[in-house]
Amino acid sequence: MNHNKYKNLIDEYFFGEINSREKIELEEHLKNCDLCRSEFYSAKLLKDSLQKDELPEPGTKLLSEARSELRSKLRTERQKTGLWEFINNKFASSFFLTPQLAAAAFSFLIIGMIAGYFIFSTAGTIHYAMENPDPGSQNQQVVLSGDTRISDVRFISKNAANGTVDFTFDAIKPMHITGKISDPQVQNILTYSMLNGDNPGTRLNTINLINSSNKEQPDPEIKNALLSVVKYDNNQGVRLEAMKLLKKFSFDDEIKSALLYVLQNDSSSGMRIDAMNTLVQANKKGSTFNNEDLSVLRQKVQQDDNNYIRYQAKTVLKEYK
Amino acid sequence: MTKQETELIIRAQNGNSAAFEELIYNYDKKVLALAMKYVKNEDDAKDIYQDVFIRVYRGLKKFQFSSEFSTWLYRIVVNVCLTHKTRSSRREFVSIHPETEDENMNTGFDIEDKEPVPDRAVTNMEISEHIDRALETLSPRQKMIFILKHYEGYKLKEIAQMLQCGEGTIKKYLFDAVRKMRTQLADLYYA
Repeated sequence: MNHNKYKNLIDEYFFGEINSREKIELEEHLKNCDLCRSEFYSAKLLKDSLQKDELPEPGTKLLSEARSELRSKLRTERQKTGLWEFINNKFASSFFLTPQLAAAAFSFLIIGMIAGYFIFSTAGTIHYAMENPDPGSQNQQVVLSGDTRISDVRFISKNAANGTVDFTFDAIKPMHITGKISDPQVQNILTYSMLNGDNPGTRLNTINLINSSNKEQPDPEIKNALLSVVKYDNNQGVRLEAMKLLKKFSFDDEIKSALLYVLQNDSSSGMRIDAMNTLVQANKKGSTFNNEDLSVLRQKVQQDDNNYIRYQAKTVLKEYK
Repeated sequence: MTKQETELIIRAQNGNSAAFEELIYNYDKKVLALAMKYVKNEDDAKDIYQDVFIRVYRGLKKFQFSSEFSTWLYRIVVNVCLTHKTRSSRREFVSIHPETEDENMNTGFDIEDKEPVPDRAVTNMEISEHIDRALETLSPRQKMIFILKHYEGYKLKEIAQMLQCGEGTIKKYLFDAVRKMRTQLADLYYA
């Protein structure tokens, strides 16, 4: 008798990988084979023990640290792609073809001239055509002063046959912008600052600035950034300000989903209470909860360590009985 | 894959960092938990976490929806974990057991004695500690497959996709792991 076959079937059975035909075959065999029956009990013991053991739940602090470190690494990562990547990706496969070689050499020459200009010039300025993010307007001449640092040069086109090269680079320069908050360019900068600013104070100021615009419904990009901040920013003050601002906007499913996320995951009871209160208010004004939302509230009733949250969740649930 | 996840991936592929964060935050807690189970050390687990999501960031543009995003992500997780073990092998437990099935593994049992066990006050924490010690006797690959199967509940077919090998191979690793675990945990049952 092939006991090994049945040993394998026993393991498959306990891992839920057995089909019905094999299951019947195994059951028949176990009735008549003491050895395999013993094996079965042994496997069952392991299964029972394993069921009492679950994956460790990472603590909020650990998860927050991991996310914070990742953000920082991603920032660096975004700045990494540049000249080296260009050499690897664009030229590696065709470097020995003469026209490409000429284009590359020409491009390097241009880059070298620009870099040299910035390195050795202290007061000079350079003019170049910059693509304007506003498609309705003309390209504009932008002046870069000698204190501008360039980095992250990326080629778009390697064809220098017509005497032009096409590339991008980061010009790091202190800027002063005056514009309305409704201006898309201003909004882009604010969104970036809210999500990527190293300093929590900067992120907070950005949110306060948007808050001061008193718009009832924000630009979608800004709203998405706020939803992300309220859920994931590692600074509680920043999350709280983002929540205050979101509360001013018309309540919708995206905001509800973010608030439920906060209610479920935020380690600060203050944040959870604020989220709970907003959800309760929205419910009073006619917003409804689906089954998934209600299951979050049920979980809160059972597990949240804050009495007020448990009470409020229970109150909402009563209405849905 | 849900429509919402597909949209998030596309937005993240187009460079939207908020979408990227939202996408990975749907999975990162589970990845960190898996890493902690695998390496039993918070610092190592954080290293794995960073490595996984940096690789996801670098590779996301090449993700073409030919598999579930979670399968693709866990393929990275598996690779990072297995590589991590290799890099830090000096600090890792090296199993003295061969990876192939030991035919004599069960011959020491007296069948009569091994029938259902008398009740014994074993706490969940005690069980967990025993299981962790038993897991350490598995080879890196066995351990990873065992974790994916038992703790994450993946089907053998899905694990085979993640590890890019045949289902039969996965089954063999899993069964060998289970038998090793059973031997290691015998003390817990019959003490």
